[in-house]
Amino acid sequence: MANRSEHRALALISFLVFAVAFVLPPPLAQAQSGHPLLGGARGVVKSNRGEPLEGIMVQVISQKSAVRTTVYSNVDGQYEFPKLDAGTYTLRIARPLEFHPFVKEGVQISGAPQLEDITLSRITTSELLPPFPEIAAQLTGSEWLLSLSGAADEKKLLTTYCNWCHSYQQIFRNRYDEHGWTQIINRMTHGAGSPLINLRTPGRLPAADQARLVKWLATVRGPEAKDPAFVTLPRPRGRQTRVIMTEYELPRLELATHDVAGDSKGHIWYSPHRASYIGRLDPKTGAVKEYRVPPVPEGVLPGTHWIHVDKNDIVWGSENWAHSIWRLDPKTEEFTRIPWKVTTPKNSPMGGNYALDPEGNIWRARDKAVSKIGALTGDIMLRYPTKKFPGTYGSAVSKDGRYFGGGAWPNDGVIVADLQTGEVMEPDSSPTSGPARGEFDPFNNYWSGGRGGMLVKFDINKKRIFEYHLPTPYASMYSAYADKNGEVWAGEMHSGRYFRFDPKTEQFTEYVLPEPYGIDRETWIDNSTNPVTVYYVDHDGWIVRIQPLD
Amino acid sequence: MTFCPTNAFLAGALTIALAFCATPAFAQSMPTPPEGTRAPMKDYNQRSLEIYEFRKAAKSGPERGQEIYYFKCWFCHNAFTQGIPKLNGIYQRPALVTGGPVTDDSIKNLIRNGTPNMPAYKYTLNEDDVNDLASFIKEKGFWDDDAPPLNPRYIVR
Repeated sequence: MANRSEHRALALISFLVFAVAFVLPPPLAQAQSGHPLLGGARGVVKSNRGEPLEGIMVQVISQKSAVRTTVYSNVDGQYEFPKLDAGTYTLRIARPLEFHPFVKEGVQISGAPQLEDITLSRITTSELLPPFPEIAAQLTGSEWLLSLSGAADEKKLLTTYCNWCHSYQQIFRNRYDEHGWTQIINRMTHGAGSPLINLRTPGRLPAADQARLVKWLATVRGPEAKDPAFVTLPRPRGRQTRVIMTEYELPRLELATHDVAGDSKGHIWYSPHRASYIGRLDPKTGAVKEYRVPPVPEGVLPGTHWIHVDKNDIVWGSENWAHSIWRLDPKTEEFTRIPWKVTTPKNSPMGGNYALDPEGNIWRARDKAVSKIGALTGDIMLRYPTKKFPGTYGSAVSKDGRYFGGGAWPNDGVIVADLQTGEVMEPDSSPTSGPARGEFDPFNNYWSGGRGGMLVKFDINKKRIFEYHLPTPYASMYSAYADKNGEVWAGEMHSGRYFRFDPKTEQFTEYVLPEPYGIDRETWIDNSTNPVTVYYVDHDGWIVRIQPLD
Repeated sequence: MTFCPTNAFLAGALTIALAFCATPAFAQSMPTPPEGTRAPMKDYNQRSLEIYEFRKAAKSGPERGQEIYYFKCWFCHNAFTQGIPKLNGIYQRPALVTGGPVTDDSIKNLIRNGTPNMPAYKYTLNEDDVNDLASFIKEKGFWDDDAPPLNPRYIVR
């Protein structure tokens, strides 16, 4: 028989068990991560059956600045925002896909509150999703192509020739008869550059392939075509959830935004590919200052392609349709325009992806040579002839100024030139890999993003190419950018993902974006932070900041 | 994607368009919702839904029509292409280049039914889309490259 003290001990133990089980909150549910980038509002996402949901994009939109901050629920369904300005926010789930949307307006956030649990219910018990337009609008291009019927070569035609200028959603949301698709594909594949103003013969693809592409589109997206059930890609998990995405609105629509570049004050400059207004974002406030590029000649489309900020914070841009370089001194707000000496017709691309070397000279590869050009004169100062490839799509100069690199255009390969010895290397890459823009890493390896969904490395020591397929099917690339540690970053066009690639482990980490595009033409990395901070501007018109937590 | 006449004028287009105008146009751009499953709510905070429905600039009217124009018309009917009719001031002209009268209905039917050089949009634009697009063509009819539309979501002005 238990004595009185034993009774007391049992009662105490019972109380403690009760307290731990029912009164005290689960320690993990409320604990802050302690990560220096976090420490703001937090909460839990669960299903309507009470199960924690991982990889859900929890987003707040500031009513004051319209800046969107997105974090990802972890394996226990927990999410935590960075410290946010006190104020009113819209709390929502970005791209809920298989779940019914969740939106809560007027959420007051001050400090680090524990927000109400977010409970999500599935739209269907099936794995594949019903083709509601509300879901169709959330699909990535990869998910569209996984969902639609068609042979591999039909889909390959589309991903090879329609991959850079717009989202696949912009194609698949439509229905046309065969006559209509014929007209559209003809314009798209014969028009020069993205404005399609000047028509060229032959077009981008052989006539037989063009006809096959039309037939396929008229079948899967014809007037009578049945909508498929939708396949969706896996949600992020593990390391993929340890990231903060911040999205910034821009003052104007339909700019066809192209490049970003950062200055020494932490501002992010962006270029409009088919408009006159460049802009400078202050990421701290979301405010943008616009600068109007002076008018282009009559009959020419305005637009800036490449943008670059030099060490003196002078901003440079290339006008791909007007065939000029401009230079902006932000202190005086004065533009200087330098005519670019190319023979290409106006409104057709002049190949405006250039590189500025440490001494302020522009480099490009065109007309069967790697050339050094006076940035203020447009005069060719030096030429290194190529033997195989006529030129490159992208242009990069290593940080030490020794190497030039670019993806061969229109071929599959790269051009890397040793500017000290004059050696020009022109290795091939695999068919339709299509290396384009890229950058050198700190070890002078050249990395290039390939339109065929291939990350291409030219190893400067081994003097050969290494290729890495993107993990997500039907994804494409346009550029790649290496950080101070040698990791490579780029948007996966059409997969709605942005990746980092560690060359040491040869592992990709894909971060899922709050919008389903990932159309990244040029990334800029702030190497002053640890981990690095990554920016790109989506072609549909908003700037994205990516802050990995590790 | 965009449409376009690839060659010269829209010769004969109106005749063809009028031949079809007795048939109602039904857009099928939206997937067909399955029976028995509740459709998700529309969350227009998702930019891709706004893009999908051409409502970044406005919910309806000529401003929405301008967005449709940019994606469906501009790549041919712009200030720079050769041999393709410009649409600004079209209501001030005595006739369409195809010879027919310029009316709201003739323009809408041309959009719906296309021409030998232009796709038929009746499969992809619904009646609201066509009405908004036609209202923009009537009010303005050209894309001002020097003044891209303001983004209503940008509020830090």
